Amino acid sequence: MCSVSDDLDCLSLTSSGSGTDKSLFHATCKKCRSEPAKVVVQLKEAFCKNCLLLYVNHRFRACLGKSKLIKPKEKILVAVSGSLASATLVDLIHCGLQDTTPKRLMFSPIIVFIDDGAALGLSNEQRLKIFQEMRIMLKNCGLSTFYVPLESVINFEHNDLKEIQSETTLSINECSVSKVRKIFEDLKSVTSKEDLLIKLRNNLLIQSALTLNCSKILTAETGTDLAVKLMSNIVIGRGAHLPLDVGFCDTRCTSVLLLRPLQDVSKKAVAFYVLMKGLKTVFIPAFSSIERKNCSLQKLTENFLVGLHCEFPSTMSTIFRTGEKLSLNPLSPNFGTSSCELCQGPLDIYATESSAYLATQISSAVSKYGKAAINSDGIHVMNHSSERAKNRILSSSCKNEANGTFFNPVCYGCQLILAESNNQIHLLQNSLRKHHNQILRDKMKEEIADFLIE
Amino acid sequence: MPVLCSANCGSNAVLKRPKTGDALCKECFFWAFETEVHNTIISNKLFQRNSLVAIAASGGKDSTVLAYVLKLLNEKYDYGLRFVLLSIDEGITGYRDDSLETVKKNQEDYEMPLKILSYEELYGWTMDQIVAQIGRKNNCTFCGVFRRQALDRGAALLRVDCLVTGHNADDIAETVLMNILRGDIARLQRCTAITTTSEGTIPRCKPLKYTYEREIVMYAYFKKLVYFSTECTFAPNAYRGYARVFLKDLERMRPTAIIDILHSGEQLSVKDSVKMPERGKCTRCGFVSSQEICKACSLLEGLNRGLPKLGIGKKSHADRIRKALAEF
Repeated sequence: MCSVSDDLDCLSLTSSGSGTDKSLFHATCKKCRSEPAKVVVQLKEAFCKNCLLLYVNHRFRACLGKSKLIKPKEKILVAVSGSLASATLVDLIHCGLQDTTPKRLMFSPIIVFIDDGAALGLSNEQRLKIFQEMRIMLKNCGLSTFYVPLESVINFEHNDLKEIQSETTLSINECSVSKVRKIFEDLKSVTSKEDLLIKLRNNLLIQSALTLNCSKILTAETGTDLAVKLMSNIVIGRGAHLPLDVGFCDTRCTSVLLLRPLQDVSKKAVAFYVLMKGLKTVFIPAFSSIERKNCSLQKLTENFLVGLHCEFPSTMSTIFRTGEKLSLNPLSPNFGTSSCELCQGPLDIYATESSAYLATQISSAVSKYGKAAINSDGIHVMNHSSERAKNRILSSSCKNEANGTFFNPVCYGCQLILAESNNQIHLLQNSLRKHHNQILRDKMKEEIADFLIE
Repeated sequence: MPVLCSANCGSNAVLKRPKTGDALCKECFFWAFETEVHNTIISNKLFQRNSLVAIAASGGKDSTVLAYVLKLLNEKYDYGLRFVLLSIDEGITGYRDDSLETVKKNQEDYEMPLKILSYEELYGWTMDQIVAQIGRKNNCTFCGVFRRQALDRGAALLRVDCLVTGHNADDIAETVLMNILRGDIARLQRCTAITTTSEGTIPRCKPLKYTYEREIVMYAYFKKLVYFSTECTFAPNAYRGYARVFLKDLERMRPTAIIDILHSGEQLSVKDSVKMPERGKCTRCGFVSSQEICKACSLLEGLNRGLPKLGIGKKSHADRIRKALAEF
């Protein structure tokens, strides 16, 4: 995920890839027109140090301001992973809260760091090291900071959230750790592991926000990250959830919104910001960073897009803008009613007469049962087969019926995860169901809100 | 040890279906393949009885298999359809001339009448001449735009009720990816539709929409169908090539990725607030267009005036050039 190395090349101040090969060596800053330019953020946009910092800050402020979603004094959870982007987000908020800052940010942020160590299969020593580095990174930001291990997702308790600065060692619940490990080891592909990790992380963020009485979550996903995420979500069959997964505001849980205030900043700009400000970051290996180059569909997509972006420099922003134009499918029969038990997104597995979903179900029915999959009365067979397929849809959504796992249906993308798991994923069942019910209740409450006294 | 056919017919399996991963014998595969196409046709109500259907035939694997399967299903399930093959001769030496030979063979094998329309008679230019004038860039833009219209013209000429094309699942997945890369929101929304139609035009449909390219090749291979398989001499520089290579990489890693992308594409929906191009008619040729002058007409105008860039890029650009020329 880190692409600092590519970005540093740009410090040589030649505009790359574009038609103009004019050297920007002695260029002045495009914005203030007085200082010598230091970095090229976009095509031909050369900034000096101060203007770059202002630019990033402005993009962040404008994005939050435009949305008008955050009210003064609201408690906001800030999700931090140690990446360049999250270091930037923390710094932007920290600076924005200073008394000397004009138009001071009025909300009160709480930082939460989720330790994925258990899912990634890191040893306790490695996790402790990461934890200590995180402590140092977040020490000077002057905000209250919490820590929650990913294994808490198995059985989330309020005291799983710990003040990061007051802890010196990790208290690790070995039982939960081994469960999480099993779940992830059970999945065959890195693609599904990465996908599941994102879903569980979001789940935990929402639970943490509810515990800490926060009504919003800010994540540090940059525009570049979101463009890559958009494309890889298309690839892993999550097209239906794009407006939630890559849009500015994720409304899966009505009482806790997830916002992405760095969506208008590129990864490159963020890298420069960290560099210029000398911010500390923490490197945490992802599933794909220890594997070979194309180990997952997400990684493959990222490599493809980064490569294409070098040749066609507007690639990332074009993809991102495409995402902004999408909305949840209002024609879906499940629109606003039922959601996936695993990822809480709207269900996209209704079978209309023509759909890729139904076509796949039919394919697997005819190749598993041969002619027996179809009734014998001539041309009407198809209706029967689609009935059959529909029944199969229902049964496949209750995978491992015998074990009582996942009674509620899951979405297309999550089915791909379940299809790879032998059994271990049922370890998540209880907590997911609890979470699912909580979200459903929130939706109910919102629906009847006008009639509630109090 | 031989693997048994997963459909429990008792025979040995000869192939593994990329779409589902099941091992099938030859007969069960043929049956599954045909049943699925039949199902697509019936559940989407692609055809009406007694229609005349034009099959867009290039001589490649998709259109060859399409013609074969449609003929077979028409007889087996009594659709009551009549078919005609429609080919477009772009005038590409070493490519289309050879592939048209295959189409002529299909005509005999499947007993379907064949109509060939050439770019030369429609537009006065062959692709070879166009490339000679514009160079090796944007070739597929010209060829694609012209072919789309040529097929419409051919279909109108033959007075058919419907035009079918051999687009397969891979092609559509590729188009979904490409429309995202290009930010073409209007096409992104309609590219997954199995039938495209608008007022005054002949509907087009894609019966192989849910069929994997690899399965089409398998089908043709085991049925010993003759088809032409050479890449167009002008294609390697096209932008689509990037999407194609990417899709093949994805498929290698997870074969269901193709249908997953199709599913994603079908689920996309555009915000109401987004301004979409309105469908109108070209003031020059009368075919469907979102602009005053359709793409085919502006490309052609560019060629005829010796300004090949006229139709490439933004409309405002072209308008400026036209205005300057008018003043001149």
